Amino acid sequence: MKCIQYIILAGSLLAFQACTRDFEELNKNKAGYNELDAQYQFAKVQADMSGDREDTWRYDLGIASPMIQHLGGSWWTQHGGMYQVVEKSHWFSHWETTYPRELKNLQDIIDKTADDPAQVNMHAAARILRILVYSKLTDMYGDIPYSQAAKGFTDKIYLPKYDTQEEIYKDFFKELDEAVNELNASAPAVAGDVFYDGNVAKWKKLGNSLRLRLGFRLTKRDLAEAKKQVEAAISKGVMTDLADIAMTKHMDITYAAGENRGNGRSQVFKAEPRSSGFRLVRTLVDTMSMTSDPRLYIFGGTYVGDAFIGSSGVVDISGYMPPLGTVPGAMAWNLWGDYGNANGPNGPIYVTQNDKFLQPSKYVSALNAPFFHLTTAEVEFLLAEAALRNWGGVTGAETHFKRGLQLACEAAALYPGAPAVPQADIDDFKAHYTPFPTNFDQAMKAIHTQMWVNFFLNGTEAYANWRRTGYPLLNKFTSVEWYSAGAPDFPRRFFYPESEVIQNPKNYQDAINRLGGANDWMKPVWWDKQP
Amino acid sequence: MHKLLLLVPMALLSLFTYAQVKVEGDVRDAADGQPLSGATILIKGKTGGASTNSTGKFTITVPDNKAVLVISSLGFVTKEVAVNGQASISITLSREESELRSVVVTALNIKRQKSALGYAVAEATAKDIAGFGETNAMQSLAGKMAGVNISGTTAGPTGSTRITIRGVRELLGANQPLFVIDGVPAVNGNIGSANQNGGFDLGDGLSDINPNDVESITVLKGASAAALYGSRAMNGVVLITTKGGRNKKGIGVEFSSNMTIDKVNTKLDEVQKIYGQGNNGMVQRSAAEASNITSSWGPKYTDNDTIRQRDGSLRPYKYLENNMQNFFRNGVTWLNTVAVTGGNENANIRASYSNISSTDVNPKAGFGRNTFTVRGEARLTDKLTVEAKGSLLFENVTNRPALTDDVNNIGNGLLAIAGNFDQAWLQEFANPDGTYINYTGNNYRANPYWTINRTTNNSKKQRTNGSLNVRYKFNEKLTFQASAGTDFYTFDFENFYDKYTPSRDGGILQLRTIKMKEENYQAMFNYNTPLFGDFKLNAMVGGNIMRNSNSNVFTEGKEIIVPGKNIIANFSNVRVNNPPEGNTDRAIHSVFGSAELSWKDQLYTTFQARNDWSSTLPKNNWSYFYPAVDMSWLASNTFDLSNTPISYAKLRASWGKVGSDAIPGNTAFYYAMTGLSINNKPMGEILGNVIPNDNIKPQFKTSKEIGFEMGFLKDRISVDFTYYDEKTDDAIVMLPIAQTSGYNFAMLNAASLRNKGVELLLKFTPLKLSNGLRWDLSFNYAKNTNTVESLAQGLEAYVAAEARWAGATITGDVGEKFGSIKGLDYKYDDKGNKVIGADGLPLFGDNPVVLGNTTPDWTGGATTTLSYKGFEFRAVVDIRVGGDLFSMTNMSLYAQGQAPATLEGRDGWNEFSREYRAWQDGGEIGPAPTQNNRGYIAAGVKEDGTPNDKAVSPSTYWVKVANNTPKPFIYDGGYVKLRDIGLNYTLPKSLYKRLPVQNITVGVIGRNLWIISKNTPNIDPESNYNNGNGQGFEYGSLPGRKRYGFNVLIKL
Repeated sequence: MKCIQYIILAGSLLAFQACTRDFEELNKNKAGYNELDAQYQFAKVQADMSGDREDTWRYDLGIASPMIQHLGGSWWTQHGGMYQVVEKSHWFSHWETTYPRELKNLQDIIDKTADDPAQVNMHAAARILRILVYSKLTDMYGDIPYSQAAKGFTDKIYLPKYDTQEEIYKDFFKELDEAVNELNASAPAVAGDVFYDGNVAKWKKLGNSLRLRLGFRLTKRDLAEAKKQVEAAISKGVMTDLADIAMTKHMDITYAAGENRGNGRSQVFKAEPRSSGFRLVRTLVDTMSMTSDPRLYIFGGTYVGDAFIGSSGVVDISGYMPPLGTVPGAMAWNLWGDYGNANGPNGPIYVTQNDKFLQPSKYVSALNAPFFHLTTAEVEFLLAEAALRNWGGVTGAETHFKRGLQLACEAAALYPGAPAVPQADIDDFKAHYTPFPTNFDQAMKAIHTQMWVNFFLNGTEAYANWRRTGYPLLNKFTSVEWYSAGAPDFPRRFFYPESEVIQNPKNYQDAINRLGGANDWMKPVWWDKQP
Repeated sequence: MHKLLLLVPMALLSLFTYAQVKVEGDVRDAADGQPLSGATILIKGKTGGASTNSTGKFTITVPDNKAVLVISSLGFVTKEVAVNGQASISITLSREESELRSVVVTALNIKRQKSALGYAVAEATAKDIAGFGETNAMQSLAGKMAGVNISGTTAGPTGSTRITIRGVRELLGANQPLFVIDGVPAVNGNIGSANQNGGFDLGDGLSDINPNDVESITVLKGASAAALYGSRAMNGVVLITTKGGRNKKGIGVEFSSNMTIDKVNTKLDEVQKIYGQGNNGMVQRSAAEASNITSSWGPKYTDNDTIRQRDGSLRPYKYLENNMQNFFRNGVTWLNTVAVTGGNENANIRASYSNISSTDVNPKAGFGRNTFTVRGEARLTDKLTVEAKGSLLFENVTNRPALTDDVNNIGNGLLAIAGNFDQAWLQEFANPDGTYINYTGNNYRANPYWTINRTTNNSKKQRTNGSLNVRYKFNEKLTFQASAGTDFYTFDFENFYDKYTPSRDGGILQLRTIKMKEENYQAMFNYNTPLFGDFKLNAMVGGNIMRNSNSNVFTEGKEIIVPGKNIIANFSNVRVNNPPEGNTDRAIHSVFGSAELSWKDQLYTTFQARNDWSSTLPKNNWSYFYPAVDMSWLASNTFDLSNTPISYAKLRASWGKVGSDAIPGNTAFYYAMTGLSINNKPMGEILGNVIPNDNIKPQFKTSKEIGFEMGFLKDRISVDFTYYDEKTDDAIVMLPIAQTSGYNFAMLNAASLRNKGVELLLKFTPLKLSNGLRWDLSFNYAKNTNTVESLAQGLEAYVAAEARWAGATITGDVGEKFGSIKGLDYKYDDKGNKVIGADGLPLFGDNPVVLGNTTPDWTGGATTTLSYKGFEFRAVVDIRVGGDLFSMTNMSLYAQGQAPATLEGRDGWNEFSREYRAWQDGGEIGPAPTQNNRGYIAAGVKEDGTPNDKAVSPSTYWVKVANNTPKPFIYDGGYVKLRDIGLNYTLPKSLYKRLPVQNITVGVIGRNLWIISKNTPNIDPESNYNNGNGQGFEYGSLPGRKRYGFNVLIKL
């Protein structure tokens, strides 16, 4: 009898060993793919960059755009946009969103296409896109994890060090140079490209134009290096035409968690009736009014009714009453008082407090509104500055500046449903800058005030350009909610995430030490050298 | 020749037996007269014996008429009966009343005398489980077992149950024990739960078990108790034995019926009742502005008679009592079970049907469940016994409540509504064109009436399980047993948001289909033999194959075409997706063995060992071995203690290891497609936010345990004490890492944790009179200290849970007790004063610090039972001492001006505000009114050390505090609750002796009727939103429930 036991026991032991044969197969995740063509990741990165409502709501519409006095009025602006902090976590959203999503996937694309001749353009385009993402982060936060970042799986780096912004910028220029050189029109186009549908020539222009933007960023810190990079960018060929604009064309899809195909900013404006509280700020509205800027009613609109902009529940009375913007730092309900009767399209219409200020227009708040990452107008404004500085043989600051105004007006018509701006109106607008100032400072003021207008809805770019140039001249404000007696001066950077204190303590402390010992928003980033 | 030689002694033997007497008899349970099978009959002082068959009958030949029979049966008091010349004897045995000496079900469903066990077990009987109107068998045990913590979520009866035994030892994973039903592991696992961003508690596998089908529940706590169940027993084992038809003769019918009523038991009324809706002491000026109904910074109720609401109408301005609970209704639950048993000598069967029909306190929510079970056993030959079991379950849950930050969380929708705003006014939730009326001014809080009218969810579960068990008894010593079991369910969840639902504007329909299947095949030999001297051996070897598979399909439709219609074809944008977390398989193959060596019913030693092969680990690491040993010494059998008050004494000690595997699908790197395209370009990405690990190793728990059990005064007093020390090494952790690595977590063997503690069970029978009056008391106590001993990557803290609100986290810090609540504190000066900025608002520290700890100091319970004749009264008190809770509900009440602490400084501030508005409305003529330091002056010092003297708006102050520090909203989460109370009465038989009825019992019951003590204003301290490791966060809780009702039990 015992024999039988032993036989059964031995037999079953063998059987167990044999049964493990399918274990590796069993442990596979059935929802996953072991390999994936880079094009699918590339398309998603481009959508995510501007399609994430939760992220843009916090870092841009709640903080950057109000700080730079484009937008205000919404409750959310109290989380930072009023130069004071009600809830600090809003300052971290872009960091916490971008590293584990855009940057992880871009790094993976770059790694896996590095040695594939058929993917040379994908490789180069991903490098350019990566710099576009990183430059926004470093301009916001200063020193950031860069050389060791997004390498958690490949290099098992769980605690990336913070590189100094100086090193990061150095690498930006090297990367952009190499990437542009790598782009090859005779190799296969960039697949999955939402910006240019794979057009290699346009990617070259984007790479060089980004180098132009980042080169100018150094004017306060290292004028010679700025000149060198600007000249290199110009000589290699920057954007020239409206069609060169780098933009994500979004789709007409409403918000849902994880749904990033609709424009993230528009999703915010459509989160609640009346643009979720957002209004254009007086600083912007007055600048545009005083220059007869024909984009005023493409950017903003006067709407009556408690409903979503663009729906049948609101009456568009744009132009039937004076364009009004909120005071910087105000909530939509501050500065109480109804406007009274306006001459509506169908006769007099009573305009209440809630409707009297300009809201983001039905065009810019369309879900399928494009998001402009880098525009030809910006390039022209920068060329105007190059001409002022006599860099790279560029001449004709006025010509470049006015071409910038022309292209900016033409680009506004890319918003869905927006009317093309009549040339006569553009000419009127340009006429406000005739004669063009000959004084450097006055010319810079003109250029970068218009740069700022052109950065509408791209608050972090406007914020970076303002920190570099000092333009536009912003009104320092104290909140009209009355509670900031001693409001601080304009912040110079975004706060690092608090999670870094726990997850990456040593490297975080190193960066904090370089910043002077505290996670201080008044401390300038490296290129923002204070006199 | 040999045969001839044998004949001689046989002949001699027959001569000897000439004077022998044959005795027949039967053995029955003294309590209910049911026959007892398998009872042993020995002849005192002689060799030889017999055992009873399945109808309790036996035949024995005794040497003479004076012989004395010793009758014993597991779980019954041994009895001696003199033959005295009777040819037929009827014997009744009474049940062992002392739990110290009772029989328990142990690993692999083996019943053992408790005295032989070298480790602690906790037990519950049918009485503890059914009879108090709880529809969830596990939740009915809260407070009744030392060291076993049981909690639910605010989702109520259809939600999941968290059971932790001796604290948490996995940082990853639910720390849930393995559930074994009648020897077959059951699929448990949460089907879906809420996180800080919202979601639903979709329940778990356990909620399916009908309490009326449960005979007993045994919890094996330590490693050696569980070694035989392998990997999945790392967190302990809960053995559930269902009722069978054994020992029943003829047909029996049992009918039980419970009817209970649920009411809400927390009211959100620990608030200020002086100021109502408005801002700065004034009512809002326009109807649109009045849409902010959660701002309680308005004028005093005595200042205004009416207030203009959003719809333009003037409504009374006064504090409304009982406002919130008027939204809810009384829930009614019927639980009916009918069970039929039947059997003869060789076979028996029990079949039951149970129906639950329940309406929840949340309007339109409820569930229904039908369960069919059948369990039968047949002895085909003397050696071969076959047992089969099957059950079928259909469950339909409508409108599970959404939790936490979900837009549809009703708790949130009602939270902080100003005291004058009648929730009933919210019934006007949509405009004539169907669009949503935004009352709350907050896109993340839907009007609860919109929620119950324009959003629906529905889940359907079908569960089938069955097992077949074959036992073959080769001889008295050797038994073979083989079983196969399967447990399978499909779960369909439909979640619908109609067009215009806030933050789901386009309308969404989500369909989720989950299929889960587990198969277990097991074979084992059991060998039982006397060895030399007084030693006995009981050995076992066996093997098990476990296969588990999961599939999960998620379909989401967006952009509804025809509002109101929730079918998928009515959506213009549909995507189908296989979520990565729900499409995994797992297999564990095991061999195991044990040997119990015993000496003279005094000393017992058990050695156990197991080897597992798990598919979730990489090939080099997938085989792992672990042993256990335990000892028990029954000192009261060694020494003669008859002259002492000690009636029972046992010492025990054990050491054991349990290994466990990883979660499936985390060894390789994956991509996934999103199922979406932008401008015809399909989108994909790297799957998940966890860095996979192709070198993950098994984690091991090593547990040491000593304890004793003592009985005094004939066991009228008994004590059961355990000390344990458990260490988990190489704990598999999804370690939160710097997000700049590109990932949020890395899968690593990255932690070691230690749980040390004591458990104490004290029983006392102060009264036991011959007239039947009896009073029993029982207390249990457990204290567990959980420490994170080390973490990989030089990290000092592990983040177990985060709350976006005020930046709070729950962490395990190296060297500290698990469960620290961290967040920014106020800024203090050297003397400990709060530092207030020049603007009059508090300053906060730069880095998060420890503000509290969620782990309770100790937990316990007390049960009192009083019985007299047919009456039985019972009450259970559940106690938790310590353990902090961050209440986001109370945080909101501060920020919105409802907390009583927000009153200070209002009158001055409001006066100034009114002057300022008057000046504005008057056309801003003359100088603006000055504040003159009217308002709230926070206690504290300025940065220069002088006392703060700057007055601010109290609303500004509290909003700032609520958004920046969790500190003021952390409460002691301890409580004392009257968990169960009930009175049952068994009607005297004389009342129904003409009826074909054996027994009728009726009772009145109450559950969670009284929170005797708590420290959390407005909420029930047991307000978890999920059952993960981040216990200690509460947010927008639905109110707790109390329950009372009736039950009837009829046995035919």
